[in-house]
Amino acid sequence: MAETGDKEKSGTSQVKITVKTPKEKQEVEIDPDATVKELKEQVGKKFSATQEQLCLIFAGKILKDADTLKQHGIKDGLTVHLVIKSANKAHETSAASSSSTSPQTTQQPPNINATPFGLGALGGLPGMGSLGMGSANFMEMQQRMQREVMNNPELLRQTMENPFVQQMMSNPDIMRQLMMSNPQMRELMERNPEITHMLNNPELMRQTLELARNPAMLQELMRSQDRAMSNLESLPGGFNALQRMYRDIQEPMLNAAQEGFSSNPFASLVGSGSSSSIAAQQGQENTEPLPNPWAPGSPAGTSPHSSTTGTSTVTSDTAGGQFGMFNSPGMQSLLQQMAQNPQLMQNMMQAPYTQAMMQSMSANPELANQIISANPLFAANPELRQHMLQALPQLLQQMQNPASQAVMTNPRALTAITQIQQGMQQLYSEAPDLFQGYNPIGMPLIGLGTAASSSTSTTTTSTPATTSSSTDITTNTTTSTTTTTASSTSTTATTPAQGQAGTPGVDLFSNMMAQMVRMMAQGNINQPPEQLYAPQLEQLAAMGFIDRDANIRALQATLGDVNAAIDRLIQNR
Amino acid sequence: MAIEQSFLLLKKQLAELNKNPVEGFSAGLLDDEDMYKWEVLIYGPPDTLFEGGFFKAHLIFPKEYPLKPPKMIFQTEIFHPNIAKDGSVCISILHEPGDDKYGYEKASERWLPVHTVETILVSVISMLADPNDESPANVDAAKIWRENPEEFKKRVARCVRKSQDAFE
Repeated sequence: MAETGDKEKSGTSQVKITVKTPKEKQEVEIDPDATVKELKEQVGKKFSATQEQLCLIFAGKILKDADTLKQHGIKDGLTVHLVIKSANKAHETSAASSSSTSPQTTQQPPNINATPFGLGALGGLPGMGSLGMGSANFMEMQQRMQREVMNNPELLRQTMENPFVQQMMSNPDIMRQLMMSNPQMRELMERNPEITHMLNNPELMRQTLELARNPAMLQELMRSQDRAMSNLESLPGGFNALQRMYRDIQEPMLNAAQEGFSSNPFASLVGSGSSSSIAAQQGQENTEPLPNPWAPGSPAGTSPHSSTTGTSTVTSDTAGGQFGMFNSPGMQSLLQQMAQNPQLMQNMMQAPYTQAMMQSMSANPELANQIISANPLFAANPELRQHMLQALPQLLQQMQNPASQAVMTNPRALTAITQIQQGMQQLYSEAPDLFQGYNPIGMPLIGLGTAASSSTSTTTTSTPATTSSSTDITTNTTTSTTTTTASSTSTTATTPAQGQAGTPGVDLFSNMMAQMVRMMAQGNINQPPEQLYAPQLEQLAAMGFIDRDANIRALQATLGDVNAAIDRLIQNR
Repeated sequence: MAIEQSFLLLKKQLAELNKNPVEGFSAGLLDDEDMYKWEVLIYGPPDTLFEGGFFKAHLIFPKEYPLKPPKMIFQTEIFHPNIAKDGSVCISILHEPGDDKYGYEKASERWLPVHTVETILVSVISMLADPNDESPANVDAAKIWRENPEEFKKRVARCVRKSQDAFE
């Protein structure tokens, strides 16, 4: 080596030191008698960073500026580690994990993310957060709605049986996306890789969906699961196993759910269900008949939600028809709050998503047409569809009109509209015939109210399902089911509103909502798989899986999860 | 002979690590005269809670190395379920093959003579990112990690900040 020869002749010649960061590698030439400070100057130039940011590490030690290279025995050809600090590193680290897990929810205040199945699921719909759903007031409204619908299992059942929901649920892709975009769910998955794996198993997903789609089956399953669990407890060691399972799986999940939500329906379960009643049963076989949670006088422990009271509400609801719902206290308060909170309305109207959607819809009647015909409700009813098509551009124009937007953001105007609505409701119930073809500006607002409220409310109805499953049920299944129902209902809750309401305004708006949600859900599903999974394909190719077709198939089957795809590819070999 | 072998083996590993360093840590001797006491500096793996931290640890090799595993003791305070409060690392590959005092590890998971400083540190770094719940050496940390992730994040962030201050 010429260089080493030079060095021996004259002390001024340079040595080559490799400087390595986790990402890149550079060579620096420097005088062997130089100090660390001098080396840092050189390194700073190469990596375009200030000296304060540099941290050089050699042989397990951080190099101090005053030291010389000789002191540390840094010789030609050796490598020095470099860590480039960013100015606010510590801050970044703590923030990084939260922001990276839920990029689209960072704009919301943290307590909203913490709402277990309510807003979490709503925020789970990509873009919903930007609709202004993130305001704290919305939480309150939502909680009120939740309580309302908690007593109404019938509503959940109706929603689940709706063709629109079923269609959506039969697409595991959408479901997975919905779940993945729920920040709570994602946190859960990060902490419990088993759940992630479960979600990546299309077969299991399908089964879960099947289950969720069949409410009767779900109820039956929960019932029998309860019993199976309690029998398991009486086996020697079974109690310990259950306890462990509870600790390892259920608790983190409940904790995730419980954060910031004191009125958690699970709270009582965790207290009474798991400790006292289970412990009391330990060691003896359970020969009691399966308690029937639907019997009027059933013990409180088995069915925390009283479904009997629920049914009575249902009957009154259906008797009152659409306006039964409007007249319910929860609904009234929702409308009132909307009136009192112009900010919420404004947020909603100004959300880029809403605006973009409206523009695209008014610019492209074809699109609107398509959406309408895709909706099963309209497909079955050509007359209604025709009506829709005619009214749609008008409504859109109305919505885009700054004047009407101003009205919506004016609290007094909103109060006035609410009053008009109440009058309308009365009028409608007194003389329904009079109402045909009447489309005041208030109606879209009602539609909005209905859509927003029913989507939030049905969200909660899924919570009793989990509750009745009690602490023992395989929590994996429950969570996914819960999120499944929760997130999907918000799409489809608009449809029941449609069905009940004969008024065009409501139809218009709920249809628009439906389309919006569809757009959000299907955003990237229509892409060809090569495009959709391009990064994953690249990764697989880099790992040596060269059969591109097989890779695509595997990725499709695993919904884009590389690890699961690799498992599959290896198994198929 | 065994002493000779361990000395040569460690010397070779050290030279190799200085020439071709491995991601995530830097290794050297604590005392240039003593080949059996190493000093390593681990920098917190990116995209983990420990990112940005500099954690100093000592590796103490027995004369019987590589038949027996070294001990690893963190010198920097580090809050982690598998690192005891005194800094000693509890990881299955550093447990001697003979005794199964913990009763749950497979022989293949424990110390093997094929392990080098590099493989040990790669394991430790991956352990930082992914704590092992089954054998907590720091019960408090394990409990907080499991039950209160937010608090765990905070405690780790404190360690990371401290470790940075120590070198500034």
